[in-house]
Amino acid sequence: MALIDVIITLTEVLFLLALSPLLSGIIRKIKAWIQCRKGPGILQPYRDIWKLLHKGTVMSKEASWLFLLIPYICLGAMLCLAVMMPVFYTGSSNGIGDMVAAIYMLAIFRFMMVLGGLEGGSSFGGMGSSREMMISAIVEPTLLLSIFSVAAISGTTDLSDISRYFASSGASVLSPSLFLAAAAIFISLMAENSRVPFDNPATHLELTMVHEGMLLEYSGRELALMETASYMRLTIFMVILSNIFFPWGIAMDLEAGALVIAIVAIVLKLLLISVAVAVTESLMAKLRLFRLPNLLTISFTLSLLAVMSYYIL
Amino acid sequence: MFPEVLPTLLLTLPLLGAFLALVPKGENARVISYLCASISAVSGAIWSLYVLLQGTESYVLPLPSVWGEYAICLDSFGALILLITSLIFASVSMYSLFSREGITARGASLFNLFMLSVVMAMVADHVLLLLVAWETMSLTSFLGVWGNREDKDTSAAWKYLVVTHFGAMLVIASFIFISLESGEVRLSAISGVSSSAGTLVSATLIMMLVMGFGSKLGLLPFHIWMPELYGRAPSAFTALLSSAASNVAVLVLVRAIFGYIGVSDQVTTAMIVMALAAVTALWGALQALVQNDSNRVLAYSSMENMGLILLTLGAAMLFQSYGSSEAAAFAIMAAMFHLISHTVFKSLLLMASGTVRRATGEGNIEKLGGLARTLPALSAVFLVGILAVAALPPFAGFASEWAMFKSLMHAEIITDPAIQMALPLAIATMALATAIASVAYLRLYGFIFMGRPRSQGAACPRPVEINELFPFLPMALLCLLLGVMSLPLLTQLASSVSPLVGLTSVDVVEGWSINMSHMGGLNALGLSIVLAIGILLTFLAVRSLGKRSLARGDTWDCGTQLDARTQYTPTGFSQPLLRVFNKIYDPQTTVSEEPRPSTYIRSVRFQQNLPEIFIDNFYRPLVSGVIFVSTKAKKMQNGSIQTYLAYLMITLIVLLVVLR
Repeated sequence: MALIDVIITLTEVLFLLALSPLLSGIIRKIKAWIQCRKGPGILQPYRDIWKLLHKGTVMSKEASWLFLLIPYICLGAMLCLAVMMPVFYTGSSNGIGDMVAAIYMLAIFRFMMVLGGLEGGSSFGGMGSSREMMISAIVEPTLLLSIFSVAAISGTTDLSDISRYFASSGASVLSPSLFLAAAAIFISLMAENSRVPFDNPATHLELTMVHEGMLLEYSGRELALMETASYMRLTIFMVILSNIFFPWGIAMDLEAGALVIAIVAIVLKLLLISVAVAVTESLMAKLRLFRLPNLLTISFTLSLLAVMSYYIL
Repeated sequence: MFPEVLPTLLLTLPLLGAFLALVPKGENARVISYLCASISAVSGAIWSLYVLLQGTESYVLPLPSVWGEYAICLDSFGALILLITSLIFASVSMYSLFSREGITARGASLFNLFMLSVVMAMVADHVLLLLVAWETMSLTSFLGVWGNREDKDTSAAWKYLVVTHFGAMLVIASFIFISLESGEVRLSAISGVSSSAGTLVSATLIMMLVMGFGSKLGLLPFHIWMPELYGRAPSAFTALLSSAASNVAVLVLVRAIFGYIGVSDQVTTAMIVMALAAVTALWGALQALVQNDSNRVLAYSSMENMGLILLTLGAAMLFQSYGSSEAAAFAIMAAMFHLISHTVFKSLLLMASGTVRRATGEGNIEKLGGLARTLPALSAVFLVGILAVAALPPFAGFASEWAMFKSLMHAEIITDPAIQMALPLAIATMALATAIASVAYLRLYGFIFMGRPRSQGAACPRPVEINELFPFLPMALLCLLLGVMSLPLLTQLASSVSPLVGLTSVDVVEGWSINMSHMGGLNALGLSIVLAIGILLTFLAVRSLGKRSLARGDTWDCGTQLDARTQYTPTGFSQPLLRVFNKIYDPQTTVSEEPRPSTYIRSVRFQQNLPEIFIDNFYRPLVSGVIFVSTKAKKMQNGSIQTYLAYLMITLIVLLVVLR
């Protein structure tokens, strides 16, 4: 791996790390506008993280040695995932950017966060964990299948190579299976990132929460890490949607001009998806918990159809 | 001279150990017996390494030859499996010694005999030797799980015996047929029987073998013995059954299907195997999710993993039928890799679960909790096993599941569009089964080791001594190493597997399979390093902010008093998924109101029974059918001598007419 590749990859990771709280801030702002509220500034997530990083931690008496490790593992997994993603350059990933590995990297985050929810021995944590597992048991196969349909089209499972394939072949490869898979990924994005039809990221009413329930026992810098990791997960899902499915604009050669275009393109795409997420969240009501499997099964079926239609059509 | 010592030690020391455990009295004899097993296992491991480096070894045993020479043969394919099995045997015998579990003369003796039969089945080069070893393995494991128990309920062991002998019947019949058809008794000389036997006969043979060996692997509907036996038997034997016995079954199955019989034009058979395996995997995962006994969770998890392995092997048969030996070799390689990973993490988990049982006196996870604070070292090794079995990077299960997913992504080889669909469906099943199973594993760790203890035994467990943890360390290390160093292992596996499908090892290693340039590869080592750097950088960045205060406080309780009963329970944890798959589980729930303890508190009893569909709908009718037929047949036996003479007469006449 050449030095320039390392530098670009590091830039990409820092770019995602720096940008992800902003995207969450933007989504909150848009939702506030739609609700005719003023809402906090879009920089509020940064302020929250900064404040939390400088606070002391209160840890439950019931928590074990794993409790304090979990936030580091979660954020570490997200940083690793950011390395795997093609963000603005489809360079060689040297076998690191495999799509199956990427989905299992997301699984590390989820697995650890759910274990963290069980640490305190409280019913909120257990409830959040239990619900999260119900959602993830269907989302994970959906993700695998929908990325597999893209892999089948492009003939590779390397994320960078998939991205390069779609970017270079233009509109000719647009097929129904691509759109079905993208729809499935969008539903998975909402589910995995605790967005409205599945969970309400703004709620603190215990009986309705999933994600916040698991984080209830975290405080101080551990909470800051968990929040950052969650922001990054949302951004990485957006990157998957924009750069694996519709990677137009991404740089395929190391030229200054192409890179600038790529950065502008990815920022625009991320903003566009943020708006889509915010609008979807505002237009929908949170579903009852046991209505969720219907929606999840729809996304699973969509992804299965995506794969099937690739072979049939 | 040197290498001959190794198989000699491997095969004679267990005999000596079995003898020593029984004959002299006293504990020392049993310790020596386990040491015999360990030394034999170590020589087995060294011999396998020697074979991997030097190539196939073959010896003739000094036994009176009745039906050809009794030979043993170890090729590099068998050597890989023997290597990992030997390591497990060494670990389990250390575990048995240090944990003082099963330190009975009988247990030690059976352990040695079981080990001998497993090793013999792996290296046997004579049909009779293989079948005798297979049968000895079943019998010793039956006695091992039957004799060592305190309670007198032996139904689980009997179920095991019956199912395993149904399997043995199929295995023996098909091996005798294979041997007769090829006219050979030396297994290494048999290959490609299907060319002379025809497609239909070989399809039947393959199905018989899959069912026969599947009875040991928990293939549906032969899985009924697994949960009950695992829930009751001593953990050393369950660890061996799930690892060593499964290894033998899969190894011989693969050799038989792809080597002795040979796969050509077996599309339908492959589809049946895949369908059966897919249902097995899903069923195992769904059942693992709702079990409350830690060993039963692990039993169903074995079923799930074996289902995945058979699914991949079915895909290999499909690829082979469509003429792509490379894809078939890749799929077999992935399945064998998962078998090796499974051996390591499952025996680690079963032994650790046995340690939890002995420390707390509880196997029911509804009664456990909070052990990570009292037994941190045990919880750490358990967590490694859980992360490996849940297929999280960079552990063993991840690398092998990755390979299996990869092997199923070669649908373009299949030219028939209708059959092409099988592969995406297989991927969907595999993804769903692993996702559900990982919930079950998380639940297992979370409710044993986290939260508040739910019983007295869990609140003050007996401390686990350092030497009891010693056998776990090599296996925890292997869980990590197999994942991180997966590429060299896959390379070795590819060259060991390729002769089975008629490839030279060079084809697979140099071709697309290992470099995976065909579909993109996985750099597991690089990925692990990046992940470690990510975690380390996070740690350093946060540390650079300076020291912070860390206070211990109560869990957020909304102003109420929290205790062991206010936590989520494992049963409650799996309820949402149980409701999603309501149709499959078909739970019978009764909620009844109990007398009020006080005016303000209602007391409610919740009871949920999950029916055992296969026992109720398959085995019970089968058993009552057998009993019905035999009751009818009993009428023939009326005890009067005239009737029997009449029977003799009729038989004689019929024979005369038929055979004249």
